[in-house]
Amino acid sequence: MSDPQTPEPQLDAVSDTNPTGPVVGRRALMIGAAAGATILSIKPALAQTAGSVLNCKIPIPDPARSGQYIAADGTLVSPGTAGSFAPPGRPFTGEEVKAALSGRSLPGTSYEQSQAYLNYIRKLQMGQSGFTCFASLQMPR
Amino acid sequence: MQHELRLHVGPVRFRIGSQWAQPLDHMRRLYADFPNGDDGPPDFTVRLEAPRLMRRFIRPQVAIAGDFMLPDALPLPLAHGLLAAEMAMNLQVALGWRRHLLLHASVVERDGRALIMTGLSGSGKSTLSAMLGENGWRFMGDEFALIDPDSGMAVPFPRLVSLKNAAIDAMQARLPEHRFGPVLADTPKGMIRHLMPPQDAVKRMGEGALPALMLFPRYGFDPELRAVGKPEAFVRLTQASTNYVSMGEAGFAALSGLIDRVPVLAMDFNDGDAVMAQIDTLWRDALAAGR
Amino acid sequence: MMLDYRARATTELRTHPLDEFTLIYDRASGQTHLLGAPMPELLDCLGADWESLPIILARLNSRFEVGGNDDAAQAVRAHLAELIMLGLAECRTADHSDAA
Repeated sequence: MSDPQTPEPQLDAVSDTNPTGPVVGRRALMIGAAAGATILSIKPALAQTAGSVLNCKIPIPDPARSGQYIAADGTLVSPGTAGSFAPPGRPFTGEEVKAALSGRSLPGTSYEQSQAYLNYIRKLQMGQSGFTCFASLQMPR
Repeated sequence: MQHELRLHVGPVRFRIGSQWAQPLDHMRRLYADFPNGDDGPPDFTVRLEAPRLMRRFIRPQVAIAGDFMLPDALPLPLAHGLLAAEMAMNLQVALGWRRHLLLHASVVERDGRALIMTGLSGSGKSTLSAMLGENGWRFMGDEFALIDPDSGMAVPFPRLVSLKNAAIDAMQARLPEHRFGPVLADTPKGMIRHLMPPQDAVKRMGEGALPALMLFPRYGFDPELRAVGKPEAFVRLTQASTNYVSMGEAGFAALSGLIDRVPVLAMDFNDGDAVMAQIDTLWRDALAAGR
Repeated sequence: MMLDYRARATTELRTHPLDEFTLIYDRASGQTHLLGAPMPELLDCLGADWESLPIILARLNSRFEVGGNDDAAQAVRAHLAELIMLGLAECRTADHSDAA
């Protein structure tokens, strides 16, 4: 086991217990809780497996904007705007969204509702809830 | 399969089979400057195929298959066949290449040394590499940096540059139309156009370069520059690599050696022209510091 | 339960200092770890032969000005337990049977 840091005598440091003698001091070393986080184990970057993709969820809309309605083109509008739809009662799973993007409707929705919700999902940006789930339904870049 | 294309890009040879001519026609034109892909056995096979029989003809969809696949990936419409082919090639390399350490990064070369820019989608690394490649630097790739575990050199892998959304306008203003692939609207990542790498980049795709500087760019933020400490850079790069773990000790040696030798800066920017000038200055400083 | 400790064989771990941290690649598991003080220093205090905690603690104290708010022996025992859990060090019960 190599020795990465052999303490060298610090000739410019004065020891508290020997202020006039030879100036040699050991390096300080904190142990216990005072040391803080001390080990990081590297985990592979592509931790998300295909299986987990189908279990992820996409809320409509993002909880930060709950209360807004969804227009036919997927943008968020104030509740009651003509032609817009109330949010669905629950988030949809990756599997449900994937099936809907291939032609079926989202469960419990009419065709128009489903299209509006899917358009909302297609417009998701990084940082919005459900973006990672939606992005992982696509091929990785 | 009905249609086939062989491609040789950097150290990798692809065989691409397709049930439709269209995606391969685009590729033949855009990769016309590259050497004949028949000059050696393929490293990877990619297949573009219809997910179900009807989808070959009616609202045709392209599903990606090949040596390496992700199950349950969504197929793309045939109009985006070129994008499907490019994604498929990326997937093969990401999952199957072990001769070099792979970093999710763009690479350009100048003065015989390599500049590596790594970051997430949207960080600006692709666009920066395309712009630098048209302004005195040699383009070495916009998607993967390939680091030789023995020599530490970055090896070119100059595929088509994938430009998205606003970056398309920026490059179209500067370059002739024939350099670009078809407009792909409404893809999962927005609008995309592919850009042919410069001819010089292709001619010299066998020439590696030792890295001298690494940047973590972030587009769309107030300008800020920060040195990134080696331990932080090491950990971030393990997350930016698709094969660090599978390369085992060679990956450890390649990455720790790279971090030892190459300074790393995090660079936030929001102005394409200003950042080019800044990169020039940072580069001169890095070379002068004797790395 | 009293434990003895020793280092992993030098051929099994590859270390690489990186500024104030130490990278360790474990050849047996293929895992990479990033260690910060006092872990590399503690690993350095382990020898090829089995030794008890007091010996290791004395060695640590002779090399460093050991600080912190916790009982030193307890703290070092806890750090060693972490290292053992990751496979970077070895232990056995002091009655010379291998620790479970």
